[in-house]
Amino acid sequence: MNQTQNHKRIIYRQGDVILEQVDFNVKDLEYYARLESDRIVIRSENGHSHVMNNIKLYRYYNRQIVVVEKPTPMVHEQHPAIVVMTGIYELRFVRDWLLRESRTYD
Amino acid sequence: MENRYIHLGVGVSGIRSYSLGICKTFTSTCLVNSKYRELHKMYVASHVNYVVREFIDNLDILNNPFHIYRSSDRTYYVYKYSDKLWSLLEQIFMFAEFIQSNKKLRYRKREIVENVLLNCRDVDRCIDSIIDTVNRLKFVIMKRRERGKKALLTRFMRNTQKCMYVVDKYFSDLRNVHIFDISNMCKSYYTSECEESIFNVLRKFYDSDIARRYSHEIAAGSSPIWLFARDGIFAIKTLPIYEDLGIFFRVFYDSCVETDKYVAVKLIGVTMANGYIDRIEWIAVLGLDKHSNQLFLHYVPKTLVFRDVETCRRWLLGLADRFGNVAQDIELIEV
Repeated sequence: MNQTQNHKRIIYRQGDVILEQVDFNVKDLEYYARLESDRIVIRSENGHSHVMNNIKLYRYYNRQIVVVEKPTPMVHEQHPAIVVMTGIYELRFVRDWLLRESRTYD
Repeated sequence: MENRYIHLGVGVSGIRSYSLGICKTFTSTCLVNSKYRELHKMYVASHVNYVVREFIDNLDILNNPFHIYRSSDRTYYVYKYSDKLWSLLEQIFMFAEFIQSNKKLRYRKREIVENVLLNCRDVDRCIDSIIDTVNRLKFVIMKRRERGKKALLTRFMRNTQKCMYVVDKYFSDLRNVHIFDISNMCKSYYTSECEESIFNVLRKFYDSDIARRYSHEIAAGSSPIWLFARDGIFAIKTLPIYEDLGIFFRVFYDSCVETDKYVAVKLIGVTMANGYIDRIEWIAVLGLDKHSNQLFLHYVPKTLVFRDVETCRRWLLGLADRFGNVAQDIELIEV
């Protein structure tokens, strides 16, 4: 998906989970990246999970890329659902200076 | 008595270093044959360039060398050795490096060097002038540093008062934190025993991978106390605090924010000595997610010391760099 220069990158955050819109070509992803799953399940530190169904989760080197083909909600039992619009996103987590990189707590 | 000569090798700023040495011969043989060389010192050209050149241009004793030759991209000025002249050259290089070491002095080095040269009527007076100037500037720097520490303390104390109500309302644990004391296992430098002790505490609260990485960083760090938040707030004491010597550890609340989704406070852990801030040990964001009622505490870079808590939170989300410059081309949607 190509973005115009004026287009703002959309970033969704639900708790510690971040989805950042990235500029990737779907065909390149299908060719170079490895399809890992058709859903996201990320366990929170308090035992609940961030869940997103009907997506494509790719592993591209050490990055996790999520392809959302239609508006899809990310749900969590303690957070309000957040609807992620169609696009290609990188899955990230809140980072910590002491850990030297962005990693989730669990 | 055998003749001795001082060889002053004048380099080029940023390209060729300066050298200073004592030799038994006044020719360039000294450079290639070590049996003629008694002493040889090297200086970074970009550090000493301006100051040394000013002295060579303005002092008669340096402006009239016994011999000049070029070698290896340097112009060598050769002088007959005398204790006074050697002492003067050493002082000039020391003076140049001192000026270069301080940013505020570096910006006004022209004025400082001119003032020294005004008193350089002879070698003795010139040496005295350099030493007096260095001592005076050191005193000015010390006073400036003390004023800075006082201003920093005033700022932190004022901001702590402003954020006190948020801390009392949402993070009342912070006033009475449980401390895991393992300071008897740790030293002021990294030891594997210290890392293991920290790991044994943290693995009760964190995944072993995260606990391992935290404990490695903490064991190598200089802060005596580190804070963590899970269901409650707790601390790990890794180094002794010498309170009998007037050294204390204190946590200030520098900035705070409350929205309908979260509450966050920026914490600054400092070591205090002689009543002032001696060292900022760490900066962290302590928060409460109102939806999940979950506490969180994440460390942020120390370069964000003067930034507000919202900028620190943006850094945690990867939307700001470590100097607090926030990305403008983004639209953050969060719940």
